[in-house]
Amino acid sequence: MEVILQILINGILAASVYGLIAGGLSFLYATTKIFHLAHGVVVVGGGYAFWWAAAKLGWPMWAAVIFALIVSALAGVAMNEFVYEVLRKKGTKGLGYLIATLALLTLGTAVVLALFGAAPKTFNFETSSHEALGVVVTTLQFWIIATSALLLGIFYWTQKFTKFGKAMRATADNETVAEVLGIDTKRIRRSAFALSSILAAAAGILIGLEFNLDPNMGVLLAVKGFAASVIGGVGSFGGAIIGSLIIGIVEQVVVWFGGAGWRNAATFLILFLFLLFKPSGLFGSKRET
Amino acid sequence: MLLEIKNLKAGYGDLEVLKGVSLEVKGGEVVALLGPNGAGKSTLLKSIVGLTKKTDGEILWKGRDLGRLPTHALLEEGIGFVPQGRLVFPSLTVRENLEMGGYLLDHKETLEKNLESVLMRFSVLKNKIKSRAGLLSGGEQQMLAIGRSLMMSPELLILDEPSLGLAPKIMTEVFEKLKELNQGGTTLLIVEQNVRFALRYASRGYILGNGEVRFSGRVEELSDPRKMHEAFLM
Ligand SMILES: Nc1ncnc2c1ncn2[C@@H]1O[C@H](COP(=O)(O)OP(=O)(O)O)[C@@H](O)[C@H]1O
Ligand SMILES: [Mg+2]
Repeated sequence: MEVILQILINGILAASVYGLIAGGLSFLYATTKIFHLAHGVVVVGGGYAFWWAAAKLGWPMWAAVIFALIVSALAGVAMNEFVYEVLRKKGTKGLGYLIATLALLTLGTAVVLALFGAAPKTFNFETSSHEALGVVVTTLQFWIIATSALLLGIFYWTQKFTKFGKAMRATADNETVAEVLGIDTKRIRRSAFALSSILAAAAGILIGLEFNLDPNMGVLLAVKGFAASVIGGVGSFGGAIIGSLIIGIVEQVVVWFGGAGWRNAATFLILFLFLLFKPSGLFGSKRET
Repeated sequence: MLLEIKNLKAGYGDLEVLKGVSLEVKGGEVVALLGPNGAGKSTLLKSIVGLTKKTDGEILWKGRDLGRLPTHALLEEGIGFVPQGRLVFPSLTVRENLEMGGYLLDHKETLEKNLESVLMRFSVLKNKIKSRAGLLSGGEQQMLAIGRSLMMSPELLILDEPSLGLAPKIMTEVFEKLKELNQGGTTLLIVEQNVRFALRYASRGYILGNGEVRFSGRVEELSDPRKMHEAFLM
């Protein structure tokens, strides 16, 4: 029983990070129809910016957080403005965007490597452990799960209830009609990149605090985010969160029984099974338009 | 003259679809735009609202050249557009769809007031205000698409094949709604494949063929089958 609970908690912890990434990816796909795999390096950039400000420069925590959010938001928006929007103007289709996003992912990783070196960074963050029902959770882990849930909740709320959020969903449904109604879809896309990049920065910060930062982890994070959004149904924000929970928990089960080496293989196996048997994902909609 | 189009040329890339089209719409009129598939009817409407860029000619709104005004400026000028294909936002609720129709309205009170009057006009929507638009029937979706365009209280409403794919009974309902709208003062420019409907509801008509105006005049003249035949075959 304790084992199951512990696996569950660890799975939810991993899902807290994946969810912030996958939610943004899925949302970006919905609003811009781009699978922004370079999102992985936006996460890494946020994590490193936070580490640099907090551990290297000794800034207070809150200032380092704000700095990281700004760095990631600027990186994401810049990728959109200087690469994706340019391609869009030229009428580029799917494959062109895929090549561009892989190029950005590789380039971004190289920049992080050049700036911070290959050695992983850790925080050695002081935290206390709590035991209840035979399960061990640190204060930090509690805050990671809470922060992620809160951010995703706020994000969902803005999408659901604010005028701008509704306009984003309208653009996701049908960009041309949104334009006909006077919605500035270019501005919508820019904001979508800013918002999802802020979620990405939060993921990077949480990874830095709980695990460690590795300049090459962007690719793997992008793949996990991609897998979670496919499982949830591409374009569905809530689906991406459920997908993250599934991946996070299954990974922990696999790690428990098979060892850590099987962790990433588990992600791919789930992804493969979904692509085979349920390619539209759990909450994928077959749009009529 | 509300809308005056002079010698309009437009197309896609190298493909010239409209080869010099002239058309007029006076305030209060219902003007039908007919013609076979691929004639350029949708392209003409899209050029008016700026979705397709014109290469030559003039589009005058109350005597002023619309030039390259962005879409939101046209909406604020009083030109509404309902595109072809019942394009509602399927994942948004009926209410959210209507709110998006009034996206450019600055005041929440104006939005609520207009929403209320659209719901008065389309009572079917009132009962489904919280449903996702994608779950509505075809007729309801078309009513919603029209209702959404009314949120900005347009002076001229441009509709692209509002009856497309609807059952005859529903078509009649849609056109009766349009007639009411017109009686309330809204000018209509309607692309319609169904000649019978165009004849019944419009006052004047144009037949477009291969990017040119083949015929223009009062609808009574259009009902002459020989004229019709000529226009379509010319
Ligand atoms: N987005 C587009 N890109 C390229 N060609 C187009 C596009 N839309 C329409 N066309 C072409 O323009 C011509 C006129 O189309 P359209 O204006 O839709 O005609 P209609 O509405 O009268 O059926 C057709 O030959 C069509 O293939
Ligand atoms: Mg058409």
